[in-house]
Amino acid sequence: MFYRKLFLMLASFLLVFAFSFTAYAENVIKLGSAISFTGAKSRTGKLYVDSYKFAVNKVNEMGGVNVNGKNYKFELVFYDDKSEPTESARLVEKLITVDKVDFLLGPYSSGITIPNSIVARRYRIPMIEGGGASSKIFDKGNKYIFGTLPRAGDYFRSTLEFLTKQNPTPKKIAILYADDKFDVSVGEGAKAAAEEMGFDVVVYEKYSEGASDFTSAITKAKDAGAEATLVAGHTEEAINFVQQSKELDYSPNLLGLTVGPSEADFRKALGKDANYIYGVASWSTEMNFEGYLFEDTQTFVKKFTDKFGYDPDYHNAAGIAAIAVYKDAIERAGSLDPQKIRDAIAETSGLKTIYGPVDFMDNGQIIGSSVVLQILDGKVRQVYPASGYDAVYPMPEWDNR
Amino acid sequence: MKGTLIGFALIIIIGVLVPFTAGNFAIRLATDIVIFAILASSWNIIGGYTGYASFGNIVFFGVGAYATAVLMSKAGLGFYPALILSGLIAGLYGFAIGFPILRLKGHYFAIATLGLAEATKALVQNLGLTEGNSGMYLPMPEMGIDASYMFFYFNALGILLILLVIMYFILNTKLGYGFVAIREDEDAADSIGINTTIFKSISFGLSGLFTGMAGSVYAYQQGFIKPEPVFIVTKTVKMIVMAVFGGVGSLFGPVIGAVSIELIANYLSEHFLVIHTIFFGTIIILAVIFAPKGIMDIITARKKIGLSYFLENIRKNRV
Amino acid sequence: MLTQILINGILKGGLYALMAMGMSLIWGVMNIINIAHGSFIMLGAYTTYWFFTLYGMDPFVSVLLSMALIFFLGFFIQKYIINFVIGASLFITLLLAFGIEILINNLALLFWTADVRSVQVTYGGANIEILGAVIPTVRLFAFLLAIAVSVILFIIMNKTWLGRAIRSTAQDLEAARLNGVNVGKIYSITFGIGTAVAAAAGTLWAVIFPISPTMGGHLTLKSFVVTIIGGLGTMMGPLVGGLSLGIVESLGTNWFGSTFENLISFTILVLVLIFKPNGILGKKE
Repeated sequence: MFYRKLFLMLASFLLVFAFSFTAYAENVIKLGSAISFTGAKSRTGKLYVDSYKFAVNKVNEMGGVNVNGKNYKFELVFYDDKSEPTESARLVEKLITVDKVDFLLGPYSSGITIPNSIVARRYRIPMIEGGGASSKIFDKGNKYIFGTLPRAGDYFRSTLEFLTKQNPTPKKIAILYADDKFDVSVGEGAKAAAEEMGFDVVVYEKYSEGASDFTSAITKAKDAGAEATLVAGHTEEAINFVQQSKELDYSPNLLGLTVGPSEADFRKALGKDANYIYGVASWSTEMNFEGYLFEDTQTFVKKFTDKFGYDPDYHNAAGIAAIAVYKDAIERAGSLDPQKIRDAIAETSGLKTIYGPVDFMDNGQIIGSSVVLQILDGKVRQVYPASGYDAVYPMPEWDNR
Repeated sequence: MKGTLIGFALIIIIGVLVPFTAGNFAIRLATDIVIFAILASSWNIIGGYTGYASFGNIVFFGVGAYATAVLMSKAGLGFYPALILSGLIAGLYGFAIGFPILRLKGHYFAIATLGLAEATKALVQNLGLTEGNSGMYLPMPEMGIDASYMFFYFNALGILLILLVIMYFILNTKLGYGFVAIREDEDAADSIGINTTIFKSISFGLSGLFTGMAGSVYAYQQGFIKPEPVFIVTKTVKMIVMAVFGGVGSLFGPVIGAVSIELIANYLSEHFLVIHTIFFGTIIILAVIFAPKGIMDIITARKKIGLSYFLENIRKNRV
Repeated sequence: MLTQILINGILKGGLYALMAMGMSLIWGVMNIINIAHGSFIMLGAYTTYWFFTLYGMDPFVSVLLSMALIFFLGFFIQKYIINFVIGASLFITLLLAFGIEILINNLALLFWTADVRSVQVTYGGANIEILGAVIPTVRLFAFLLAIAVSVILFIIMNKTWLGRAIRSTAQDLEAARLNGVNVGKIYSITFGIGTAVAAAAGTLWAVIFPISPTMGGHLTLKSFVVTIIGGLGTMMGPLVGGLSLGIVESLGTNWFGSTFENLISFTILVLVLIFKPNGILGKKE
């Protein structure tokens, strides 16, 4: 009887020891994110999940984050927000109060980033996001949100510049935009830029976010004789738009989409129909920057493609940059205090990443620009500013492909 | 009378104690519960007492939320003025639209209210004033995190108490008798001189007033609102389920219903991450089949409660 | 362009008509408003998707299978769940239907995730041109199938003993029962037919638009509009209502912008209910 009790006591001691060992494990910095694993935004949401994981693994491989001499590993905590803004905000609050994460990573899409950033502000914990470009995220004086995507309003500027360089220059432009914060910003910016550059905006139409029926909008653009059509929307909408353009036999000289063309998923869903479609991006696989976590862009592209089986796009790169900024800021601050980290992030200056140099404006948004892409032969190529690939303009008719 | 006093006392005591015995996440849950209690009790005015089952009451929640957003962000009003004005706007909306809509009965009325909610949502989605579908910011409350949790909780609780007290008094006046008379036999009510048209509109307007105020609190709490979540049909269903579950046509029934359903739903979502919504749907189905008169009926019924009670309910309703 | 706008509206209207037919049948015969209607459309869409993705079946072929499957599902749901509250008050039945909707939608979310899916048939982007308007072939096929199903339903209801039994049950429950009609079974069969037709609409929807587990709610609301506009109690009602709504929406969105679609449909719903609740063809009650 006595030996049984002794054995039990020793066993429980060992168990307690074992647990305390795991508790003692390495020092850990928890990064939390509620993001679209499923739902309407999941095609792009998943890109961020891959990137966050890829970058965090690299940081930990490199030895982790050095905070005043102590080494910390990054740990990611995820929740699926099903692409719903209210749910996402609720999950962010959970990440902070229940999972006790140290810092936050953004969700995907401006419409979800806004409610998330409000929670971050309420709890005074910094959030770095790579998935929201609308200025509406940054113009409310929220000091706790930082974004690595450049201003939505500027997205189509380079496309319009590209058009001015074509001969003959098209005159009539159609601008279609979804009614969410991001696309409204893109649409407004595109219209202003187009008028500034002397184009005639013949169609300027809003469509419902998540809409699957573009018959009305396409009919209008066709009828107005638009030579170039710019569509601001997210990937799901973009795919539908292209499919229905084919159904209604609509093929302008240039069809430019904001989100979609850069993603492998878009090309897979549309197959051959994706060819000749134009897109915009804040980054392309053609670039080559010296990196912070990876040697340079090209090395990153190769390693990423090897690991995940698809070529990364600007969403992926923006996500990598977010993690890079955290490592840099935390090491500069030499502390884990949210306030100090927030200040350190704001002071990020010319941080060299595979995404490009990172500098934040006073309002927290990155200073950046966009390039024009075109899908040629099933691959995404940067066509403007010139990078060695010739654009095909005008796009061939549907039955000539 | 005595029962009512006990009811009020319980609500006040429990209501005041909760935030001081629980952490922030629990206060947040309690606030959600109180807001649902307001929604269910407001629905009860038009659906329970007056007998017009509105399936679009969420419209007032959305109107209240957006009115507050516009008044605070664009007109620079403070929260309390915005709260009261939003309630009045929602209430007036209900009162006015009540005239044409409350002429319909039964199914047609239910669908009309559904259509009203959707049409109002679509209107908000296309108005520049409400920034269309992209959403509106509200100003941030100037207080610390803990203080803000308390703020929203007590505001919601206060609105609920005011609602219940007002209803208690109304029920003992001609207005209240009128509501019930309309529910029991509208033609008879008409013939004994009750102006059913006005009474119905007042009922709908009151329902809208408090629902609108709940929407106002919600909007300020969220800090950023979009049309879909504040006009969502499933919230109307939830408030009706709560009223039915707790006991339609009784003062505290909907409150009990709100508390129980929300606690059950929260428990389920904590422990059954993936399938809690499925359980919820199942519970609705079972509750509706076996206990359509709600918990209050079980509490106040003098007859013996046993298996026969539930079977009796089924037998009565079968074809 | 007017031709194109009208044709767009007619094609969409045919689809709307088919969607509403099932709801109208159930409502007219059993006086039940099937709030879960959209969920059955969704199930039809998903069965089509899985038949296509797993077995390569063309949707226009598998539609019969989908309809049969959903018929049985609807039959059982009516017999073993809805039947228990048929005699109860209005909002009890509505609540039950909502409960069923929540259950079905969330089961779908659980098994198939919230991701959006689509059925990409090889003849997907093809189109033909008539009178200067471009007509996508897939939408044309869908329209024709919708008309076909409506005609078949019409024939069943008017020329078969089953149809006669259903109509007599709808007119006078007690009289039908006295005449030896097994009303319980008729109710279940009617519900099954209603959901099967909804499933057919789902099949067509899946071929034209992307689908997701939560697609049903909006379609239920649209079906209400069509049913009310067309008028209850008649087989032609949904057809008239659907085509009218399709055309009005097409013209309206062209004039005001595509974001006005819902504002147009639901304002029409409310106005029709207020001023002419029996709809265009509805019989006076």
